[in-house]
Amino acid sequence: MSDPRTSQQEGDPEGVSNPAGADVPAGEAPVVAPRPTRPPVAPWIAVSMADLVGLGLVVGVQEMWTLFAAAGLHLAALLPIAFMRSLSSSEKALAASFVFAFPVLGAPLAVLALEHGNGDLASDLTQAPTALADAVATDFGRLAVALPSCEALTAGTVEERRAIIATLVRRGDADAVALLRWALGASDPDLAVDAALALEEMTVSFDARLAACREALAAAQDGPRDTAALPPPTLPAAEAALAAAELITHAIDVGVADPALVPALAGEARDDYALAGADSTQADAVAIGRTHLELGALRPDTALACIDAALPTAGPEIRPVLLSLREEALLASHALPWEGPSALASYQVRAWSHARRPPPLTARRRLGNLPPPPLSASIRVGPVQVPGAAATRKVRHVGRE
Amino acid sequence: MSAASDTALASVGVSDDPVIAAPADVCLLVEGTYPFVSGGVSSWVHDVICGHPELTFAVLYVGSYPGAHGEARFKLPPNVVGLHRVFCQDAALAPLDGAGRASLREQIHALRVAMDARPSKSRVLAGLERMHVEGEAGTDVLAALACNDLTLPELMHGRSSFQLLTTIAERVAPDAPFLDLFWHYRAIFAPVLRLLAAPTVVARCYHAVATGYAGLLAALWSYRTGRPLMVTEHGIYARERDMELARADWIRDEAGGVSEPRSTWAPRVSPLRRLWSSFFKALSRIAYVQARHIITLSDVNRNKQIADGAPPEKIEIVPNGVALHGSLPEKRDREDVVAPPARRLRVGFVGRVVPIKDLVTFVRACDIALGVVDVEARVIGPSDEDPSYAARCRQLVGRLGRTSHIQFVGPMPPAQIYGDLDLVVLTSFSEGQPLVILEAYAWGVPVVATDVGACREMIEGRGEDDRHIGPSGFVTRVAAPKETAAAIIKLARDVRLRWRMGAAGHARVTAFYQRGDMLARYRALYRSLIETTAAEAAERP
Repeated sequence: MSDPRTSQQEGDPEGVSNPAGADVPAGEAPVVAPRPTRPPVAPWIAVSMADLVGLGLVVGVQEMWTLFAAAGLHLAALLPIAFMRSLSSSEKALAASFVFAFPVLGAPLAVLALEHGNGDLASDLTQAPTALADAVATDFGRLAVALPSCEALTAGTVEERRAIIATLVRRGDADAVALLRWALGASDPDLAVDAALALEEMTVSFDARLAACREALAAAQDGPRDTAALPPPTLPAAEAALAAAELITHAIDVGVADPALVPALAGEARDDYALAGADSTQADAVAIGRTHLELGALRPDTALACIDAALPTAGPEIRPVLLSLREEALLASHALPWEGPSALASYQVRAWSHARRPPPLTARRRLGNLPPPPLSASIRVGPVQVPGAAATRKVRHVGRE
Repeated sequence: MSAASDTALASVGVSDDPVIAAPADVCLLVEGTYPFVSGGVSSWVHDVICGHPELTFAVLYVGSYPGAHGEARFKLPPNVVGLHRVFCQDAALAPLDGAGRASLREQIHALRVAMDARPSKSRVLAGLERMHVEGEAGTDVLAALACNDLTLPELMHGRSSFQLLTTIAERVAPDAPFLDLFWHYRAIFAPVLRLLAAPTVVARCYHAVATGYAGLLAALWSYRTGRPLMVTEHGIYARERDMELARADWIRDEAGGVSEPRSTWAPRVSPLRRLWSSFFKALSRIAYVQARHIITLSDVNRNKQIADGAPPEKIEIVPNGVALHGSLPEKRDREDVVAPPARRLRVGFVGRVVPIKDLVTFVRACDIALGVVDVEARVIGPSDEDPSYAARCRQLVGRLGRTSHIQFVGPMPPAQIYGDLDLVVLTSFSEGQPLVILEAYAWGVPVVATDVGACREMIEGRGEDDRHIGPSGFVTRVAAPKETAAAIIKLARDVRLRWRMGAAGHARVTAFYQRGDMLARYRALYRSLIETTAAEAAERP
C-alpha cells in the first residue's frame, strides 16, 4: 500500500512521481517518491460526525424511524470518501470498506491503514518488476523440462544428443570442451564417437584459423615497405601477431590445443605477444593476453611478473582486470601440481637454457639462491628428483624408490 | 520433357547402353566406392567379384555429380560385363541471362498448364508425401516411386509439388524457416527423381552394397523387374549419414541458453536436420523391405539394422574373410619368444590417412609410448584422399619431434606389410569389420583397436567358442591416446603376451574369418537368388 498522502497528486496516473520534473520513462522512475503536501482532514471528520449523529439518534430517541435515519447517515458517511481526490480508487475502496464495516470507528481505522500501509495495491502491481517474475518462471520451466547437459548427453535421444554436441561445438568455451572430453569416457560408444568427432572438428577449425593467422603475420612482416600509400608495416604486423597470440591463448585456455603441443604453442604465442608489444597502443591487450596464456600454460609466476610489469602503466579501465587476474595468478601459484613433476622439468629446461625466460618465481623461491646448475646436472626439489635437460622425461619420485 | 533426359548416366565397359546390354548374373550397386575410391568396401567388392569367376557382374556406381570421382583405382576383372554410373546431381549450370530467365518463365508456365490438365496427382509425389509426412517406407511407397511419373522440372516448379512442400512445412517442420525448407526440399528430392529416371540395368539379381541411394535404386529396379535383391551393409548407412548431419554446418540447431553461463539447457533439434535424418532412414527401410536377404558383418550392426526397421528374419551375419597362407609364420614361433630380438617394437597403422581413421590419436599415442619404450611406428596407407589432413598429421609428427620414429610409408601390398610388424594399431572413429584386423591375425600380429563396429568381438570373441580362444589384442576407447599408449607399452614389454595374443588372432581368423567361407556363403546366396529368378520365369505363362 502506498502512502495516501503521496499518491494521485499532481495528476500522476501511475502513482509514480518525478520530483526533478524530468521526463523519466516508467521503467526508470523511482518506485516511491516523497510528497510534501499534507492530506485533507475534513472529509474524515465529516465521515465520523455522520456516524456519530446516527448513533446518537438511535441511542437517544429509540424510535423505529431512527434506525432508518441512522442507516441513511451511515451510507451518507461514505460520500466524503467517494469525493476525496487525494485517494486512488483502491484506497477509496479500502477506506469505504472500513467505514461501512465499522460504524464510527471505520474512519480512524481507515486513516491508520492508509497512513501506515506500504503502498497502493494497484500501483504495486503496475510497478512490479515483471521481467524478474518472467525470469523466475523461465527458470522453473527450464528445470522442469531440461536435464543437465551431462544427463541429456547420456539419457537423451540420439537427436537431442547430437543437437547438444553441435551446440557445444559452436559454443567452444572451456566448459563445452570439458563436457565433450567427459563424454569421451561415456559408456555409450556412440556418444564417445560423437564427442570425439566434435573435438576433432574443433581442433581442425583451430588449426585452420591458426594457419590463416600465421599467413597473415608472415604477409604483414614481409609486406612492401616502400609504398607510401600503405600504412607502416609495424602496425599490421603487431595486430596480426596479437591476433595469432590471442588465438593460441584461447585454444590453450579452453583446452582445444593438443596437450603435447602446448609448450611449443605457448612459446610461439610469447614471441607473438612480444612482437605485438611493439605497438604501444596494444600494451593493455598484450598484458592481459599474456597473463591468460601463462595461466593456461600453468606458469602463474610468469603471469604475475607480466601483470606486475604492466600495472604501473595500465590505464584506469584495464587496471581492475589486471588486479583480478593478479588475484587469480596468486592463487594459482600456490596450487601448482607439484605431484606432476613434468611441470618442474619443463621449468628447468626453459629456465636454464633460455636466458630470456627466467624460471618461475615459485621455483626460484623453492630453489633458494642456488647458482644455475649445468644442463646435465639434476636437482632435488622436495620429494621430486629433477634430472638434467637431456633426460627430462625420466623424472622419478625419490620417495618411491 | 522426359525424365530420362534429366539423368546424367554414363556407361563404361563392354556395353554402353544398359537397356540393350546382355543381362549380367548380378548387378552390384555401390555408392561412392568401387572402383573409383580405394578402401575397405571397395576391396571387399573387388574380392567378391574376383571370387566368383563363374558369375558375370554389372557394376553400377552411384556418384554425387559428373567429374567428382577420379580414375578407377581397381582394374575391372574379366567377369565384369558393364560399369555404369548414375549421378545424383548435374554439373553446375551457368547462371541465366535475361533472355534465359524469360524463356524459363515461359517453360514453367507451360509446365503448369500441362500439369493442371492432368487428371490425377503424381503417384511419385504421393509416395514422397507418405514417406515424409506419414513416415511410411513400405512396398506401397516403393510402388509409387517406381511409377516415375514426375519429372525434375515438375518437382521444381509444379503446383502440386509446392503443395507437398507446404504440407511438410505444416506437419513435419513447422519451426523451420520456410525459405530454408524450400531449398532443403529441393536438395532432398531432386537426387531421388534423378535416380527414379535412371534406365534400369537388367540383371538376374541385384546386390546393393549399402542402403541409401544405391539401396533405393536397387530396390526400385528389383521391384520393376521382379528380380530379387540382396543388401550388404558394412557400416550402417543411416547412422553414418546421421554422424555427417550432426557435423553439417549448413544446418543449425537452436538450443536455449547457449548464450547463458549455465550448464543446463533444453536442446531443440533442427527440424531440417530431422527431415534429412528421417529421409535417410526411409531410404534404408525401403531397401530392407524389398530385400530378400540383408547381410551384415557383426552382431553390433545387426542390432542397429533391426532398430532402423530391418526385419530380423531377413538378417544374416556373414563376416569378412581373408586368405590364410598356412600355419603361423615361423618367425612368430615360440623360439622367438624365448629369445626376443633386441630391437624396437614395430607398430603399424594400416589404413587411409583420413579423419575418420583418427591418425592424430595414433601419433599422440606413439608419442606417449615413446617416452617409455622404444617404438618404430609406420603409417601404411594412401594419404591422397584428404591431403590437408595428411599434412596436419605430418605436421603433428614434426612438432612432436618424432619424425625419426613415426614414418609415413604409403600404400603397400598386404604381403609386405604384416611380416614386418609386431603390432597393428587401429584408432578409427568408425569401422564396420576392418579387414586390417583380419589380415594382421592371418600373420599372427596382435591388434590394439578402438571400440567401434565389430572390433570388440573381433578381438575378444563373438560366441562362446570364439571367446574361448582368448583375446587377440586390446580394445580402447575412441580418441584415448593414453589408453592406446598403455596397450602399446604393455605389449612392448611383455613379449610372451604379444605372442599369445598373436596366436589367438591366428586361431580366430582360421576358425571364423576365412575368405573361402565368406565366398562360399555369398556363392550360395547368389545361387539361391538366381534360381529364384529362373523359377519365377519358368512359372510365367
